[in-house]
Amino acid sequence: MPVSAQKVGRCFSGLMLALLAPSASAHIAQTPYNLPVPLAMYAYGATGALLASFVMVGLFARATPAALTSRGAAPRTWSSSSRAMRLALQCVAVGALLLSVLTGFVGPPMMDTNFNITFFWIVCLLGYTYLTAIIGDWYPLISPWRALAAWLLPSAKATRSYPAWLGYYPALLWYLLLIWLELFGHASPKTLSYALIAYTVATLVGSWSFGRDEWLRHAEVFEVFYRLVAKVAPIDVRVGPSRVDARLRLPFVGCLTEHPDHPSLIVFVLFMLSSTAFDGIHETVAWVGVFWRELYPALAAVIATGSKQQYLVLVKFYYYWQWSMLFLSPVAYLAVYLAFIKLTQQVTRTSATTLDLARAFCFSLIPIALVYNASHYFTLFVGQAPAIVSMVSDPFGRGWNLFGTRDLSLRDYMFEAGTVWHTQVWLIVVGHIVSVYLSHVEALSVFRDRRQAVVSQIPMLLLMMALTTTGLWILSLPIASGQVMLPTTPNGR
Amino acid sequence: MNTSGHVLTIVLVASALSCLSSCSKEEDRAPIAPPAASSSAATLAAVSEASAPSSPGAAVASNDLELVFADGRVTSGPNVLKVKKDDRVRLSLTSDVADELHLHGYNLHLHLSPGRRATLEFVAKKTGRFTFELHHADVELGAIEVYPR
Repeated sequence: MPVSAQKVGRCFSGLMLALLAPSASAHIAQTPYNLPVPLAMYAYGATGALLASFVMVGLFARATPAALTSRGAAPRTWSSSSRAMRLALQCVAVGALLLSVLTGFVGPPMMDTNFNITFFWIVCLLGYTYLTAIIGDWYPLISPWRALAAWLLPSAKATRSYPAWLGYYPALLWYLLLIWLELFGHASPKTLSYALIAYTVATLVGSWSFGRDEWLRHAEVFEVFYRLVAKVAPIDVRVGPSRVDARLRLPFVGCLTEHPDHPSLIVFVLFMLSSTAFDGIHETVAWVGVFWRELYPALAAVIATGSKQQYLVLVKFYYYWQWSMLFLSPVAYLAVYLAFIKLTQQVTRTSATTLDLARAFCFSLIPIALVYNASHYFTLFVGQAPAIVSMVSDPFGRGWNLFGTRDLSLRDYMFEAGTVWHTQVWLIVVGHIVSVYLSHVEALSVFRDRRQAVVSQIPMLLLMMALTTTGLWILSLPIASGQVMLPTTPNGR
Repeated sequence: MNTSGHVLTIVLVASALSCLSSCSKEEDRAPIAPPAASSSAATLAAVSEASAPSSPGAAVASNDLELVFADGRVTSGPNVLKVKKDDRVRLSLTSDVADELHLHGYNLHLHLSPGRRATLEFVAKKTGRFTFELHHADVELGAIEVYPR
């Protein structure tokens, strides 16, 4: 049962706990109206995935990544080295960042009416992710941080060189913070503006210290994220310092042509999976109950203060517990992934190291990560993204009507529950099929022996079944109303 | 197998799946029981029921929600109401402070005066999970889950 979350938050540690309004993620913009998927559909989705897997194994793919990519390498390349285009895009990007920061300070204070909340979380983080999956990685052209670094730091070189061991860990850290802000930050428009300023300053300092390109490539979380997403896109986009090349290729082939160049990127990909899984599960009755039913009695026995005080202390613990579970989620997923990789190594008796194999199969998980994301957020995106059309006419809430779109009432488009369920289950099953397929093709290039390649796919298939079933299972869980429950003990209230 | 072979594989798999899904669609049209509550959910519901003062003679008990809000939290009443599409829903609330109840999705508002019971009545036309909250206290009180018929 919910309690006055904000009250409790103030009692304890101010800003950090100010997220306590239940379903904080829902408060990013609008509440997603998704119902838990009925058990019957969960069952047919899982069965479908299993059946599909068997069909795939039966008709085992024989093409090698090289054969696939060569077809995509048709010489239809579009190139541009237009400086004007680049400058125009940079100006738009920096302008959008500036507008987001300003609207946070002087725009409407409410989450659902402020421009920056909808623009950042819904349009950029959800919408642009889906767009990138279709049109490829154009982000370096429109990254406001890359533009600012280019304008403000005249020399791309830095005195220090970027340490190789650091890899993509800075981007991973930003990613963890970003998801924390999304789920628990209870970020008001103003908080989001502060966060954007902090990120901008940190990125510029990093670029200045370690070299513009090195820092942006490894530590700018959005650049790393969109680059990974773009691996599924049917357009291969290369943004160089002075020219842009784009060419058509088969969709998903990008997942096969490269392997992670640093172990940290494997953890990053696994956090793409685990962050969405965690978002899906962290408000369900089952998950919330773990704390209030399993951990609460034990903790309550230790903290023997007055009952009200004790409850408030434990609410604080509840959030610490939720946060640590979020931060540990990629570790858990990594452990599972490495266990299956180890198993693959054992059954194939290959001489390849665990790290080699973990790198080889890592990108074939990207489609599963993307469908997790889409099945979780597409209703939120479709419901909330159109509101940006009216917001852009009056970003500061001053009664302006710049583009004549202010009074368009586009928000809150709602799907029928049945449509939502079918879309969610279908997305997950299709993502599963693609990932299984990619990992099969990858196996053929990793293992020279065909039998070895086939055997290697048994652990990978099990892993993907586990990921898919988990995704479906999470969608089917009943949702707790409010994150903070009253404990079941009589003195809890 | 060449690339067209792969495409064939995918088409085969997809058609097998669509067959499977259309079979189960029939099932979906039949009234769906709300997703089987896990054991923890059952416990929670039981707790909620135990703490709710039973109001004998309440009409259509399953579509009525009776809540009491005091000291910054819900002190009585279940927090999730499960109904079917087109059901008439009655949501009553007694609060110890003046506030405004907001039902998301349906965008319905209910003005609350301290100590006075107020009722929101509507027909559940949209399916989905709709939370309701107190605007000023900024507390989510619960949710109404409207399932397809």
